[in-house]
Amino acid sequence: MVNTPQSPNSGMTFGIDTINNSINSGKKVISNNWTLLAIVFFFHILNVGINLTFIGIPINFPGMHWFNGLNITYLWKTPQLAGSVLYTNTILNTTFWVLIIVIFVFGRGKSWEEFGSKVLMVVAFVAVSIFSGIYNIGDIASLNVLGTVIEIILIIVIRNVIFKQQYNIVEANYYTILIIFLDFYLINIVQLMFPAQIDVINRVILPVLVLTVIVYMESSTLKSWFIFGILFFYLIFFMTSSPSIKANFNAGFKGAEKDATPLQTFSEKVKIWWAGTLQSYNESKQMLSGDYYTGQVEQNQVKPLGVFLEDMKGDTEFLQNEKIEIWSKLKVQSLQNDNSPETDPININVSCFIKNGTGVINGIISPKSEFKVNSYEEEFLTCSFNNINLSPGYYPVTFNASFNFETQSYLKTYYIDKDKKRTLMANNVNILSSYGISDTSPVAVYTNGPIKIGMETTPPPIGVPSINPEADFSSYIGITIDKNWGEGSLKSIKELWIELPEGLSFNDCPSFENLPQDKWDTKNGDKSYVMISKYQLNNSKISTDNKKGFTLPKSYKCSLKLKSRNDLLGQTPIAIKYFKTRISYDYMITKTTNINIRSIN
Amino acid sequence: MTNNKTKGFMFIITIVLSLYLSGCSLANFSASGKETPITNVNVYQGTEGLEIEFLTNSPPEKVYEGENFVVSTLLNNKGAYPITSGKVVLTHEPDYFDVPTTSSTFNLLGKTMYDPSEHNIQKSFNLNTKKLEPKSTGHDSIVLVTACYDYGTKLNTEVCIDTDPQNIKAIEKSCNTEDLSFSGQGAPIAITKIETKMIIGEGGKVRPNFWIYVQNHGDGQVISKSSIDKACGSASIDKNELNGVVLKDLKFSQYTLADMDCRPKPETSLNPVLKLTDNEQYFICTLRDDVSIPADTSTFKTGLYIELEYGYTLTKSKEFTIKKYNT
Repeated sequence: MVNTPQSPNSGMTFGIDTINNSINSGKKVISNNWTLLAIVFFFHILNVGINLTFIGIPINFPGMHWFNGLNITYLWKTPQLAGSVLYTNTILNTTFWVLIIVIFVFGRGKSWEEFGSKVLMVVAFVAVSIFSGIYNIGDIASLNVLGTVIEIILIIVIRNVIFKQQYNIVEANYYTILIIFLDFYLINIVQLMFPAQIDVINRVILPVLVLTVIVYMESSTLKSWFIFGILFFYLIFFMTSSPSIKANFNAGFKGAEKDATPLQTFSEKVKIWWAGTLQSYNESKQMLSGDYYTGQVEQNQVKPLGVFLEDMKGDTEFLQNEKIEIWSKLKVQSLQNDNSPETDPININVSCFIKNGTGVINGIISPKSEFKVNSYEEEFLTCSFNNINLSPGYYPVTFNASFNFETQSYLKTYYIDKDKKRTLMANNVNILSSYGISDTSPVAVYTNGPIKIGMETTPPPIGVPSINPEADFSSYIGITIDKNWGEGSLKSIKELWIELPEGLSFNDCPSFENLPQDKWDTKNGDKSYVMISKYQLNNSKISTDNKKGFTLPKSYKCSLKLKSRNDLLGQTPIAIKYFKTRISYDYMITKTTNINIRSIN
Repeated sequence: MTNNKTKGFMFIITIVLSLYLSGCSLANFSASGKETPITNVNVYQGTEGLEIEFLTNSPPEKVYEGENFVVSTLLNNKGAYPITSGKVVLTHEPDYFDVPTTSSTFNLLGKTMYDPSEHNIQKSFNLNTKKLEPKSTGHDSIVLVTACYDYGTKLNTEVCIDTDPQNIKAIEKSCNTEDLSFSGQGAPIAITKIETKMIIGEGGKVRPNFWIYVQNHGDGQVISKSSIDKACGSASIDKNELNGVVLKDLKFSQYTLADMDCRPKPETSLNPVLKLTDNEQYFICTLRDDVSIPADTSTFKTGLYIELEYGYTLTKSKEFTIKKYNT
């Protein structure tokens, strides 16, 4: 649609009708412009800056400037100030008038409406420049606002390549104004709408210019798949319902450092999200194959147990050769048990380093790097680097804390005489309910900590035959070891013990071997007369798996054999028994922050 | 003055007559002060038998590791049948408790006409809590108390024996055969209905036929009386030992169970045994042909006595928490 020349007064409208007509006019496409998309995407990433180390690629692409748009609340909270700033930098600004004159002389177009739209467009560009901190030409050289300049350039490119191809000049100018507003203010508007997601809503999640180019690309199967992929990503990112991812998101939000930049916070979130996604994928894969045994954390434990690195702080900018200091709080929470001499203290080893390309520079931890904790400890640690020669740029500083820990788990189940079970079931009796048992589908309960242990056995009540009990008894126990925390990693397993109910033993289970009796717990008195079967994971298996590196979740499944019917059932109509598992392991948590080394000059 | 004297005399007479007329109910006051005449006590009602009740705070809601505590229960016989061989068993979690004694026997009288009160007995079990796992702060536990006991149901009612079901005789009948319904006889197994039919045999002889409907109104399971120990232990119970109610006795007029042909009756049993599938079934008892009622006997109303015998098992549970000190 082309406007005929009109008087300035009639043309000085916002073009609402024009915009409406455009929306209703039909399909607007450009020729397939993947090249433009690539260029816009590249400069968008350049503008944003990406730390790829969180996905395993050791590249820290610092970006020119982290630019997350403008704060729209500034406009309505301080309209007078905003207006004053704009007025000062347009009406009272020589540069602005120079631009207007240049446009008028060389590019006013065929109508006053066209000229007016160009003026408004220039005002919009000036406004976002001013509010971004560009007060004069010299400021452009500053890295602080270079990102704004790149965005403005990209918008101009999109105007000339896409909008001017699709619309008349007036419409193109108005669409450009719209894109300027969205690119600079949409992030903040969405953050205000979803305050809980404030840390993850940014220009990487909502790349307005990239999406604009995609919208105007020629329809094709590839474009449809591309759009589907983006929508799917949004769906997963914001509406994931996996407990692991939700927990990881919460862990990520809880762990967000107040002083972290949005990139740091975002990369932490994505790292945690990705880890959670992988974890959920592995869980699902094992669940589908029937080899993932679940559990739940002990409800009585309201406080989290383990070792935590919190409140990582420090300056984010240092000059070359300046002493670098980063602080973090080490918090240890264990269960104090003075009456249990067999409870091992938690030994923690803290270290820190700066990653410099492919190498690392180790820092010094003070006051000390090794701790032995029985119950609770809170220590403020400093990681310092003296006289290290780093080139200007962004570098990740990492705190590591390795510690030993133990997780215990138990699974309750019920045993009953097999004929009694058969008879009651034939008479439509709900066996467990008839005995007043409400916990009819018990799940494994594990103590709080970085690793969780799930267990599963034959659905209860398990029938124990009276005739030929050893030959006719059939049951199993499955164990799954998995991460309970979204962050950190399992370094090695030291011991994995399992205690079976009295009267049962493993039936040819090569992964486990009998636990020597001298290693049994004595807390419950001398149990040598009781036929308890205790097993440990084979040392050879532990060392092999430790060398390979533990890929969690990891499952074991063994069939059970009946050794003694009387020991298992006792003298009661139904027997309540437990499988108990204990795992000792080394775990490592990591916290990373980015620092910027600036040139002395 | 004469009128005042008359009024006063009338007043005194009224008081004396009132006392006289209320004398019967006054004389029936028992020592406890109950007003119900003793001849109206009917203990054979309701569907309650033995009830198990945990005493307050026994076990407590929270116990601590290494602690001794008591699980006390009150066994209350709310029915009309005496328990002569009852057994009560405590099921616990041996991984968390040491219990020296987990079973006990008991006897309890049932309600009677002369003693309609409920009889009860307290049974207690001592438990020692073991230490929890080092990393555990608490554990939710449960105890089950199972009572296995012999019990019975007795029914006394009246039934009409119609010797002229086809109404051939011209004599007016003294009663009519009808179905009888009942709500309970003071036991968990209730006779809910009796259908009476008259079967005409050779020479017009009459063979009364009773359909006796039985239903389990209690919360427990019916077991055979001989399987009480098995029900409270870990031994097997086969299908013949579960849900079996024995017809111990049936009497009407001069006839007894020995004169009746009752079904179902397993070959191995002397008495009819009813399997309560879906908790309700019926006996069919018919007077034997060789002792059938002669045709010339008039229709009459007579008492009908039925006694059932069975074993019963009932379980009650209580949940509580084991805590670690300083948590």
